[in-house]
Amino acid sequence: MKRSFPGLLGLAVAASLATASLLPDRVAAQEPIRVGELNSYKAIPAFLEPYKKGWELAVEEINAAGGVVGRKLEVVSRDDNASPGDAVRVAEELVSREKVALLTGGFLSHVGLAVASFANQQKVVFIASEPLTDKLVWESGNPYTFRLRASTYMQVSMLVEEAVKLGKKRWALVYPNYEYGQSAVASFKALMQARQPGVEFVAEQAPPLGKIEAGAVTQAIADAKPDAIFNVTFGPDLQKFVREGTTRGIFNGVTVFSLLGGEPEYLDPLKDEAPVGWYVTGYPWDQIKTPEHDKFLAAYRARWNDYPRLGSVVGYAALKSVAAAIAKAGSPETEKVRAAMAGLEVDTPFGRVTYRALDHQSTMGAYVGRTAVKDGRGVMVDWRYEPGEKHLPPDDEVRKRRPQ
Amino acid sequence: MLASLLIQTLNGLASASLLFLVALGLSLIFGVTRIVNFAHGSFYMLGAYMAVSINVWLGGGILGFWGAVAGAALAVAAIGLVMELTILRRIYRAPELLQLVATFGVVLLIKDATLFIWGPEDILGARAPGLTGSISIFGKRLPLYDVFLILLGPAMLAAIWWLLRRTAWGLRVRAATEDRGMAAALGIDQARLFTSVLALGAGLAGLAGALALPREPASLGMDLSIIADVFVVTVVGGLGSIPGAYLAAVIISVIKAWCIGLGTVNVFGTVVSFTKLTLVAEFLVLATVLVLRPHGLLGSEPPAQRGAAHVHAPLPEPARGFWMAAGLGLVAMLALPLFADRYALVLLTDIAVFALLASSLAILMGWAGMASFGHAAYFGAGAYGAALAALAGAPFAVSVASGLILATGLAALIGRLAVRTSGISLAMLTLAFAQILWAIAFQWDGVTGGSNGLVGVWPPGPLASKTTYFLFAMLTAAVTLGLLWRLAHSPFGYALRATRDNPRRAEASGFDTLALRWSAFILSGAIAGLAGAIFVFSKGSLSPDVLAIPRSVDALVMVLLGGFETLAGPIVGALVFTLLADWLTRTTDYWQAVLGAAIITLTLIFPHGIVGTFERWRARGDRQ
Amino acid sequence: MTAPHALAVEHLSKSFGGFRAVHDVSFHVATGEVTALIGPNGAGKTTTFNLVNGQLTPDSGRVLVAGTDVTGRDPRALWRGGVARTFQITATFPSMTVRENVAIGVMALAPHFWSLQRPASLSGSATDALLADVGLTGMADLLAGTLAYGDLKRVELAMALANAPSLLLMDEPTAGMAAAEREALMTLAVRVCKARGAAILFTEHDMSVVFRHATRIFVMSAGELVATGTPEAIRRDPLVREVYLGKAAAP
Repeated sequence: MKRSFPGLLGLAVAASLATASLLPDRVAAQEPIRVGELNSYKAIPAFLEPYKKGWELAVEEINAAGGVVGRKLEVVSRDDNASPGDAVRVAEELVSREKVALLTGGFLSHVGLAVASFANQQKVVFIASEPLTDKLVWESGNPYTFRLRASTYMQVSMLVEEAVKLGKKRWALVYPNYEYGQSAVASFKALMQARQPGVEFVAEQAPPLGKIEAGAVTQAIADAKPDAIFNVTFGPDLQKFVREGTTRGIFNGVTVFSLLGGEPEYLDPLKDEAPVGWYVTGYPWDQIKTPEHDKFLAAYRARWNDYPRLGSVVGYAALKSVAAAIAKAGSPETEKVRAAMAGLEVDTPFGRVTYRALDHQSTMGAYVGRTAVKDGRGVMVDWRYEPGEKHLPPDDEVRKRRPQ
Repeated sequence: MLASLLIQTLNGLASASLLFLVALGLSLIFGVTRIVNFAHGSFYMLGAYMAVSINVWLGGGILGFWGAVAGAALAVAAIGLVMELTILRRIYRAPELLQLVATFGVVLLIKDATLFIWGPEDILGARAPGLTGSISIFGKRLPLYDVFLILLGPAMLAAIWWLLRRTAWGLRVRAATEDRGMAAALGIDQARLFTSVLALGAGLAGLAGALALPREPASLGMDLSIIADVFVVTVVGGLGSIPGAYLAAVIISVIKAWCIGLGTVNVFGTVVSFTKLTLVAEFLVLATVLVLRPHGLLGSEPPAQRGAAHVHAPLPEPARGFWMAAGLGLVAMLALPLFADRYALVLLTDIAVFALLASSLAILMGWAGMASFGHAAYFGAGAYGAALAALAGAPFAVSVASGLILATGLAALIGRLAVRTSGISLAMLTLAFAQILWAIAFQWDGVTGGSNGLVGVWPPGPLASKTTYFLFAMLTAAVTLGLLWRLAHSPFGYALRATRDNPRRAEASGFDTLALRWSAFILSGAIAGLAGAIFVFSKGSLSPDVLAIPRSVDALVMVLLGGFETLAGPIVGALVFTLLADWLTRTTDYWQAVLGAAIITLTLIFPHGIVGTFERWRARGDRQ
Repeated sequence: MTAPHALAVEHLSKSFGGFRAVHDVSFHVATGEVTALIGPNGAGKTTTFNLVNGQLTPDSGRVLVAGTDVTGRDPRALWRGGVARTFQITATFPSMTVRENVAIGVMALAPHFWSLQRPASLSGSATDALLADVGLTGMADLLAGTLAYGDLKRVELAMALANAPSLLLMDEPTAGMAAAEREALMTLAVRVCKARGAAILFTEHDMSVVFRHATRIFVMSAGELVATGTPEAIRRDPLVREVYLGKAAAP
């Protein structure tokens, strides 16, 4: 038998791909300021498609108004494949090949943390738009990472505000079994115990994300005979939970608090089966009557012929933050932008927010209200805007949690 | 308390019926065609989406709902049929697991197509008219639809039983399941049988998807959230055993329901959250069952396949020129930092890592004939071991060694149990252990950082630049692979391939086949661990996804795409897959669909992997 | 004291769930002797064979190889004790060349698993000698998977002889072969074994092969050994005639 030469022919197949991928395919243009954006578009499309429309609108507005510091803004967007490893590689590509001035994006907490760590090592500014984990700006905070969205802690705190008013004693907790759910519940417990001594947590259900056995979970909660339920599940899990719980009558006479439950992404699919009277954080887009929101709403509808979801606001505000930071810095240079981010004020559809110098968290708030069904769809009623700054712990506590 | 237990049992039975319906199709397809149909979850998802649309089209109501159920089943059956005719039929002669890669391509394709057609938002389907209420049992309410499902499971079991036992078609299916060669000898038209089985199996999955709608919204995560469970049910029940699948579905679903019912319990002062156990309950059952009964609860030893069995490709000794070429290639790589940009180096660092991972898997699959569906376990163990050591302040070399040791130890432990089984049982056992490890990493906040993982694991000073780290990764990979290639034609390599080719002959020629297979497992785990350790320092962070199923699937795809019975195949596979994914994600929004189509095309053109197929073409050329 | 037999079987019994497959069977194979174990289907010869080659463990009785008790030892231990075997369905390594097949058999004597060198046996004289003995030198570089069945049988024979056995067990060695090939194979096996001092015990359906090549024959029926003797003695034995002619399946 002839000896062989394995692989050399096979390698040739890869060669064409290699030239496409390994060699820089274009020289970075000098004119526009490039912004790197990465997110888990294929994994979380329900939130991120509106999100993308949001930032695209923002970029168009910014450029129509002449750009920033006299230059146009250009976003280079990438899918991070919902994987921290891929995200870090994509971030590297954006920084070293696309020559972006800074990074923004992120939805999943573990991906956001990985990109934040990369940003810190490579000394690139990263404005995390959506990842909610408290660690991003506290325990794992770093000088180059900033966050727009109200964190898990802040949103829990907003609901606790309402919960203590009711004085319910027996609470059941249900949350997706990963860091977001766990830390939401931990914060909820701690805040409730501090504000309402004697509160009891009579049941705790932690279904795997996306795989809730809703019948069994609702039954187990009912068996514990709670006065109130604190729910952190969202997406398909929430829809299953609502339908099973309603059919089994477990919500009768029980007050329910649901984190993110009023966001159109999660409320709209329920249509006329949306729960009634739940306390939620969310986004009553059709009822907010502030000039800044009216303007955003009109522009969004005109551009996309669709109504905005919360993701749209986050994407929009993220790119507005980027533009504001560069404008304040007067240049896209990293250290200048980083300095500008501290205390940066940005006008968003939710009003003016500030990126705190203390922990790089923005003061963007959320709407807290109750759910209702109107014209065959879920809406928020009795809502009000809760500013983010009201729901952050005292500065000393933050300093203790954040590496200095 | 007893009433609660009863209701939870009923809840479990209702879930079990749906799980069984999906598993049923998978089991039939595997039994007859030996195809590990990764796209089965996608069929389930499609069933749900189709039912939504058909119901709207029919105007809702009773007719709309049940019309949609039937229509969705038929439509998905048609899709299964098309998949068989256009893709699978062309690669039946390829190694069995290549079809897994092709169906993985189908998964990506269907996912993007679904997103394109139905949009990103979850769609809550209609409830079954007349079954929207609930009945009262001991003062607790059970949805009527759950009662319907509880009865549906056994009814479907009986129907399929009748189909297999009492019809001519069923006889053919059983003949093909039990002995392919015999079925062919009996003059059964294999092509038509396979087509019909694929259609029926897909249709059952579509039916289950449509029937799941009253309980679960149609969402884009349905495919992957069910596929692992369905594999587990099929294997726990015993491959090809329909009653076994039902039994397994019931056991797993009821255990989960009980865990949920138990909630959080104080056991001797320790708080145990049984609800968190549902994260891996099915894999704990799988591991237990396979260790005790390698062929599943009601399965029997798979019959020796006459004629149809895969004949392993020869692994000729590399020519002298090969080493020269490899050396030149390495020199070229090491010279790359002189003219390539930083991103190219980062991408090649990833490719070096994945080449190591894929090569480690090829030791098991190619040399030893053992497929592992859970190879991420050792990769992840290497990554966690290295990261934990580094965060504890260990020097770089010690950290990498720690990862290597942890991965090797785990491979020794898992391998000890796994090598006693073979085939799909072995593959699923490795998957079960990988999932258990994943769950531990996911839950053990204090040590592993839980679902968020660990951050700030960057290499020290001299290796901190992307260039030096690239050189380190490339050199380490090259040296390891070089040694591995030598090993392929060392006494160990020959002995290993001897045990793969014919274990009885190897045993009769004095080889300890179990010890050899175990050694291969440990070696493979060690190299995967090394890959993981290099990986974590190149990324600076890690999370449980290094241990998760997609990582194992990626490794499988790379190995099979490149050619698992060749030396260079895993490297070519890692190169092609990584570059393709990287290039496509930057080029098009629908990169998943394009990647899926590319993978399918590659399997059709290169049924023995890229390198393996070239080898065959060359060998054929030589003979002529 | 005389030299121990190549194989001695003493009072071997084995039942499967109440079915007495083998009952109190005793016989021996002398050094260098060629023997055959025959009997109609279901007589227990396959069970006996598997008890001897280590695939089954007897309920009672002993198996001695060259005077050493090997009862219940696994095939690997038997191989170390100088017992080699061939299989009814030829067992070789189809993805490897003929030379590699034989070399692997030779390599097993001293495997050197820690070495990164190619096995010394690939170019060793022992391998060459075995290839020459079975007449495969010219085919040494062909893949085993591409050979004709008769050639494959010779490959397996060479592999089996690699550990210089004192006893070669052959399970239906000529099954699936044409008549002319059967003769050639058994002639070769006997000649090579004789030259290497290995005794043979084989089972076989083809009576002409049995009577031509075996110097002694063991006849089994209904789980018991009913006759032992030279081919002539067996041919004349009325009991054997009854065992075979009484059955429809007689050859």
